[in-house]
Amino acid sequence: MNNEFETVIGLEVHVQLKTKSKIFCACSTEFACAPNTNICPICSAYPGVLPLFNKKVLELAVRTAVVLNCSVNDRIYFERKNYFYPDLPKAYQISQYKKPLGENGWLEISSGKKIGITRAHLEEDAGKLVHKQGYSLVDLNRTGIPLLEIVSEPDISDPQEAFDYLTYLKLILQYIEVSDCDMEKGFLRCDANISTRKKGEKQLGVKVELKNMNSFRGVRDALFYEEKRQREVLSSGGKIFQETRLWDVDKSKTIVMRTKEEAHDYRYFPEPDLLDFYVHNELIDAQLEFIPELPLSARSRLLGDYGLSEKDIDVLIANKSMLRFYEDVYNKADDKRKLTNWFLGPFLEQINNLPKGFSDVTISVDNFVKIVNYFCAGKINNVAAKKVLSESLTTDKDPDEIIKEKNLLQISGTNELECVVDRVISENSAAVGEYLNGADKAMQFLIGQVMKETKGKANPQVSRALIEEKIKK
Amino acid sequence: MDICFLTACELARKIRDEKLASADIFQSFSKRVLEYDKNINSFVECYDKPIYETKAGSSELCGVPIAIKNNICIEGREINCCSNILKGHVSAYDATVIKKIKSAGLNILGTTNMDEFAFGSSTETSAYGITCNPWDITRVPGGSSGGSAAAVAARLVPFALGSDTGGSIRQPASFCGVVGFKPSYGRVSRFGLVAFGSSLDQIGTLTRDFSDCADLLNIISGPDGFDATLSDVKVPDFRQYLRKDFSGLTAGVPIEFFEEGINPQVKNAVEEAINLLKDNRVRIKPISLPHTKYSIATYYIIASSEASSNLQRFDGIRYGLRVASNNLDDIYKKTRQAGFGDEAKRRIFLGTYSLSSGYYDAYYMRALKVRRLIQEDFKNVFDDVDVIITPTSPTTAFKVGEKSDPLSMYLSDIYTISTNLAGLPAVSLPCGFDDQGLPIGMQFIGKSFHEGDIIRLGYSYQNLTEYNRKAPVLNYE
Amino acid sequence: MIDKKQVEYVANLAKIAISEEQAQKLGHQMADIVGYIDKLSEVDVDQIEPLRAVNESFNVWREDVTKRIFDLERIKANMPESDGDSFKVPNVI
Repeated sequence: MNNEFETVIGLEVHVQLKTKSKIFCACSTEFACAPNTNICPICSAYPGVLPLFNKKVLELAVRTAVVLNCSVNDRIYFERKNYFYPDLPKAYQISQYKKPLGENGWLEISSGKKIGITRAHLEEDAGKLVHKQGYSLVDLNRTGIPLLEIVSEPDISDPQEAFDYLTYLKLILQYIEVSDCDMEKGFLRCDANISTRKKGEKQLGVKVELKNMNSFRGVRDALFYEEKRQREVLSSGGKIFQETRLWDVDKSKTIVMRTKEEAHDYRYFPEPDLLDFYVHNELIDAQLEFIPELPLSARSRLLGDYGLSEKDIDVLIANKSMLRFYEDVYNKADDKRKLTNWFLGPFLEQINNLPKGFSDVTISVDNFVKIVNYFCAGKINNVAAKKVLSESLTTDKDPDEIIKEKNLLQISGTNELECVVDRVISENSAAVGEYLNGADKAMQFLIGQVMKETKGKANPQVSRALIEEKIKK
Repeated sequence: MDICFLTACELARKIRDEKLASADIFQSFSKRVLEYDKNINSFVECYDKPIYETKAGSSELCGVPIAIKNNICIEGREINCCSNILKGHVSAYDATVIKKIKSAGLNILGTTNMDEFAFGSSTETSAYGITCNPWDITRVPGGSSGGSAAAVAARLVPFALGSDTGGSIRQPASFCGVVGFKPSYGRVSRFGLVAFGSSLDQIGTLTRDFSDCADLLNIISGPDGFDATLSDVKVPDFRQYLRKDFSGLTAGVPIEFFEEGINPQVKNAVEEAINLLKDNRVRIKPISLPHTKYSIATYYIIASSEASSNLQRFDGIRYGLRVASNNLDDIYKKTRQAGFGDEAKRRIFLGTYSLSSGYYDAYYMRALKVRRLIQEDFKNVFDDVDVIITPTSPTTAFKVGEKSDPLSMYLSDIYTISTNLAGLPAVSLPCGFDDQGLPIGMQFIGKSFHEGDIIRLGYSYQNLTEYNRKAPVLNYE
Repeated sequence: MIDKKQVEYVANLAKIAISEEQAQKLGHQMADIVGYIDKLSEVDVDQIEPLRAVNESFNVWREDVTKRIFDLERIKANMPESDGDSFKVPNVI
């Protein structure tokens, strides 16, 4: 890579706020409904309708602005952004222009760098166009779903940092429960601005806008491509044009959508159908209650006492409710070390097989701890513990009941186990001989046979000791 | 007795006393419309029978017919603002005022003609043809609520709803000799009124007298949970102001409204009315509203800007007219070319222009600032007076086709526009006739949310005079 | 004066097709009107706050509740062109 250049990136993120009803009417925001079922005269812009603002939208937006360290404007109002498009029924979008809800914030990403937030403003989503052969269909279900647009400063210096910013932004939005941030469903969308300049130069290079990235990886790939393209153009004495380029994920390249920025004339003016809104301190204070410990501070806390690796911590903090569950079971477990191993091992493995991951888990803290404590105390072995967990994971069934039903209590040091061991030794004299000749593998086989006979209830350590004791006699 | 000559209150009393049946009343008016409206053209659609059932005794005015300006939505009925772009458009819902009217048990007789999208002062820009003034069918009824005003004046309906953005209720009321009331901005829900200038529009009433006016205001005012610009100021019972009582009222007379451009007969009639009030111990005070001369310019920038944006939804995609094409931009441009009339296009152009990049500050932003100065003019004088008295229009009804130049039409709104800019309640009421027998109107302007003052003054004045009791003679053959 | 280019620019923003003749007529009429409204430039508005709304209330909002109060069939019945329950338009590039 050519080292005389540096890259400057800014990101525009649109995030759907999690409300039951739309921003200006009482239609449902439910995803994936049949086309044009969540619509009414208001969101389909019938003659004579008026918007009425959903208070929850302001609350969620204020919560977000606070977390992004923005200064929240105490008096806000909406404006109309005028343009014709089939997915925009009023031919204007109610948005904020001159006075956004939040300004001048920042977000600290995992590297410790602070990325500036220029503004965070409210607006309504547009509908969806489905392109068919020869025509397009308009579905207005999404029209009027509340959006918060979060615009970063051009503080991001490489594609990986853009990826980190997005990852952390998404995580934070999920922590404060303002959005599900599901990019596949379009709950979170990102456009990027990227420019290149000579190192040490103050003036920004010509900006290119990138659109049509459908994943964070897509954003990173598109930026990598564009970074390389711009440097090559500049190195060979060429010029970068101000334009909008689309990311083509199949061809892994950006292509020009609009050469030279069309002179948009959106004719913004204050929305006369809505009055001003005062963002009182009480409203802000009420939202502070909903802001939990944020992932980065949870991270530094976990680094201390829990004896976790950084990698393990990243796994844990990636899901707020899972992290909380971990800390709850950790505090109640008898053997903290074994609990952590078991949590990060078998437990995560089982979660990964659930359709919705941790969201499907219903097992209570107490039942989970019970299973782990039984396992640690040798009451049930590893195999049995996994079985119990798997059955209780999404049902919260009492582990004691499962153990009893399935007869999973571990057999160790009893006469029953001795009888089984005796039988296994006498039936497998070949393996006994191999072991005595120094083949350790043969012991594994013998233990396996004991487990088989006991249907997995034998304690493997006790079994091994018994076998050794008996064949060495 | 011809029941069509009774006022709404008189009809309601006869229904309550079981001397008349609401079905018969409906039929009488429906028949009268059929007979006389061919010469006036005040109705776009007159229903031959009631379109819903009413519950007896649901309000003071239960069973009385009413006409609705064709820009107020009635579910399942064609509402098209008298524009080709909405012809055939069946409304998907009831406007708040329609819901209130239905639950009060009034019977909607039909929808009335208007200037296309309420752009106009003469009802000449309607896609349904011009409405004629019942006092002289060679003249306009005023506008934009010309159909409602003409129908009430011709006794084709006891009363009607209109909408007023810059005088669209009061000026036709003045030209047709009826009472036209525009409430304070935020008094009556705009939900279901097809928007023209959202910060100026207000639904109001066209009635024969102040009793009907107060009763109808009682029905249509108040909150609905749909219009964010509705005020939370308590709605009084407007009937309490129906008393002949001038006591304690001080009226301001703005000198600027009697200067150049006013027809001397109009001036005389209003001055005579003021003298009559003075004789009845209303204190009269000369006042000044210095920014009046900027009100038309301010109004046309703000109203047209808002209108240009409000009318963008008529794009041929979801309802109304669509001129077919394989190219989306063509659908937009050709649909809107074919659907909008000349005046609508002019307003859209003017509004788009004054909001466009490079002109916004000089026009729109500046107009919002001057609007504050105009509002402050009123605030200042209302420290000293309770109501303001002015002529409603500089002239009486002009001839059809007389004002072909758009600007001269705009200038005729000079006396009514500033109250919309300030959001104040105002009413036009008959105060005389010119030498050709055409009605002259005067305007009372009240403090914000003090409709009661102008109702009381109007009611008292009407009890001293006969002007509102005179009906036009409908022998046009 | 509003020249032809300006009229065409506005026509494109407003999405209204106009003929050459109309453009000229509209240009003249708009010039008249704009000439008149230009009188606002003589008002000193330096210290004046723009008046966005005559009603001084604020925080008029609704709670986050879903409600179905309108008849969807009426919306479908008005569609000029449709495919199933969707509005149909030419391909958008």
